[in-house]
Amino acid sequence: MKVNVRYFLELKKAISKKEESIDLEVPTVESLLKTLVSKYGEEVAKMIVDEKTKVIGTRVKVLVNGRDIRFLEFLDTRLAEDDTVSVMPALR
Amino acid sequence: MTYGWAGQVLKVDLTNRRIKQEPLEMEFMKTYLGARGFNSKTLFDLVKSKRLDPLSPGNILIFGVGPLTGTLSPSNGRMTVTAKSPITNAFGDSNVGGHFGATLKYAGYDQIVISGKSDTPVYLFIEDDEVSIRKANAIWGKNTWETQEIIVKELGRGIQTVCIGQAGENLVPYAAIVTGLKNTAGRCGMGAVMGSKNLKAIAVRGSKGVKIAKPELFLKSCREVFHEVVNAPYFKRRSRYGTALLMEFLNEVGSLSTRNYARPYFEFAEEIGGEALREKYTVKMRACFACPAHCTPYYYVKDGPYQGTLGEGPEFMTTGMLGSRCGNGDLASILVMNNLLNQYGIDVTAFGGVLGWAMDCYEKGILTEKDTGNLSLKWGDQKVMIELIHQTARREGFGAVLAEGETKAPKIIGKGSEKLMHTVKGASLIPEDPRSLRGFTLGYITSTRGADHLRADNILDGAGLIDVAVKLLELREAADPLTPKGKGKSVKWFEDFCAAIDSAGGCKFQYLQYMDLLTSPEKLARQISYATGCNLDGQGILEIGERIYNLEKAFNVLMGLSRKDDQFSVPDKFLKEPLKEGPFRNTVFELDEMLDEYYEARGWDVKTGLPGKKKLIKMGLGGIAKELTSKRLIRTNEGVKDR
Repeated sequence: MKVNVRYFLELKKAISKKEESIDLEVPTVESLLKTLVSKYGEEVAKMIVDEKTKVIGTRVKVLVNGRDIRFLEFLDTRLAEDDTVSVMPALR
Repeated sequence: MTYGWAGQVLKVDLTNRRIKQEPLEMEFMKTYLGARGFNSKTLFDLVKSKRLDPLSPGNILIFGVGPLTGTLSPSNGRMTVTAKSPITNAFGDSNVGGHFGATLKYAGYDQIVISGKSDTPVYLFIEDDEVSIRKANAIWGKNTWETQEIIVKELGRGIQTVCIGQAGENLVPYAAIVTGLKNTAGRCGMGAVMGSKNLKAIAVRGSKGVKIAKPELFLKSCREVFHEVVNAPYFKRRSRYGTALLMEFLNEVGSLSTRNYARPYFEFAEEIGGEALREKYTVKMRACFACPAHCTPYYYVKDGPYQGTLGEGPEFMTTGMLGSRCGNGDLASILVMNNLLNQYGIDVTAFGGVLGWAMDCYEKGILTEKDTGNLSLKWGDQKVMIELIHQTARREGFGAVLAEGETKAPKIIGKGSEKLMHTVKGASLIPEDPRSLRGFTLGYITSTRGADHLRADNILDGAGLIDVAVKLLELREAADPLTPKGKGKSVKWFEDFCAAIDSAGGCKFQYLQYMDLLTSPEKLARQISYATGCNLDGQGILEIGERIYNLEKAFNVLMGLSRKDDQFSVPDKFLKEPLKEGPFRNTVFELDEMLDEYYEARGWDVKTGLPGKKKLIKMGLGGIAKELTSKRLIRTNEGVKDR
């Protein structure tokens, strides 16, 4: 299943693109973030995974179709075909 | 001995050319804190008539600084300018950064109160105790940049100036007061009030410094705040991109007002956003007085049709109002317009509001070339937009209509154009669609100075701060932009804190965005305590803020405002017409539910939206309660709940 992923600020620079289509086997936000970590390596991993707690997703702000995942099911938020996921470094 | 405060007000009667320095009473300073608080009380005491024309000599114009202004306390160099507003015909004030406020303090003043009207154009020169009213022949008719240059050439180094441009001279109701290249007291038409008094500028040089009650503790607290600020993630982003970065964020969450609220997305948001500004045009970042954050881009346009343009800014307000609101995706043209507005002394929020309205009218056929002097007001036509800035400042051509402002311009055009102008209390809405971030929007409905996001700057739902919402208000929902729940309570908290920050002379970005919201009232209180010798804590700071907010509300009660005015100018647009796309699609703004919660949280009458006698007395505003009661403007028998 394909989703459209948009990157901002430091993430955009590290990944060297502002958006792309990503194919996911498991259609959740957690699966997408893990895919990004494995696909883009350490620099991007540092932005997505908390170094101390090793928790994924707390250092980035993730929107699914414009809605903050913290008001959805957080990492368990289900993704559908052609959803737009925006990933940006946490603003605070 | 007075610490923190200068302890003195400068009173200038322009009609009779009288200048008087008077000490401020300690009780007044402790009760109203400074800047915005001082000014609000002075306005209430001196302006009583709701029929008073804000541009008549009977209005007063007040400049006020806070107890932290001019000290080493980070980001505390700000000033508030206050008057009865020609835009709202009610309470008006505007907060400005730069370096003027600190210099005024060094000259030995917390406030300047200007009354009357000079029969010829003048400017005021303050050098410590020496104050003179001088002829403005050489600067009248000049723009704000030229004016400041001429004054500095005449008076020499160490001068800071606030002044109006041609828009203020021509009494454009949304004229601004400018200091430096871009620092602007923009909202509420303070530049028009200054122009109505024939006062072109105030130049100040000061040598007195600020006395600190507990210097060692004060310095220690300054260091603590400094380190917290410079280590905050948001501080780094703001220091790199300025506020312009909000363009990308609001567009991504489907909240960006585009083409006068036709859509919540702008297809050129990236082209006019913070990253584009940084990469293409920013030469360096600059700061206001004593601020560790450098949030003002200094820009230069290297090539293209606007080659050679240099200036400061633009804030998100500028890229939003002249960009998405007007359908303009060309950032270089926005930089040109930013300079022109700063030079003429025009508030970008109001101008962008009337321009977006005019373009919408043109698209819908309400306005044609016959009305506009052969200008095609097509969305994003930069040349026409630039031309209309010139015309508005000079009150020429179709610009003379735009120069009448948000309330009068639609009345002149008629033909249903009133339905396309979106304001609250007569002041233009900002570039965020009200049907999106509910808590953020409620703040500009309840704002005492008309539509304005900085009165509350309720960032709980804008930034989705769930942890803070839970700890601060025990309300997770307050951080969720999609629900009306908790918004009244959160707006009340932010309004109170912002009133205190403004009154201290502080910057809201620092206390709300860089610092930990849970502890920043306490830290502000500590700084004020060490500076002034008073004993304040975080709760005390919020109580002072609440008092000031009630005081401003009381002034608006005097001017005849009530719950009916806490409303959009075209309610159906935002209360009945849902957005068609984005995460907020199919929802509308649940105003009544949120207002009920807000008035309840404030301890005001829910039906009328007014504070009652007991509430005002509880706030330490007994004299004001008595006055409003004797005029039968508020109730005497309301129950006030202890919160």
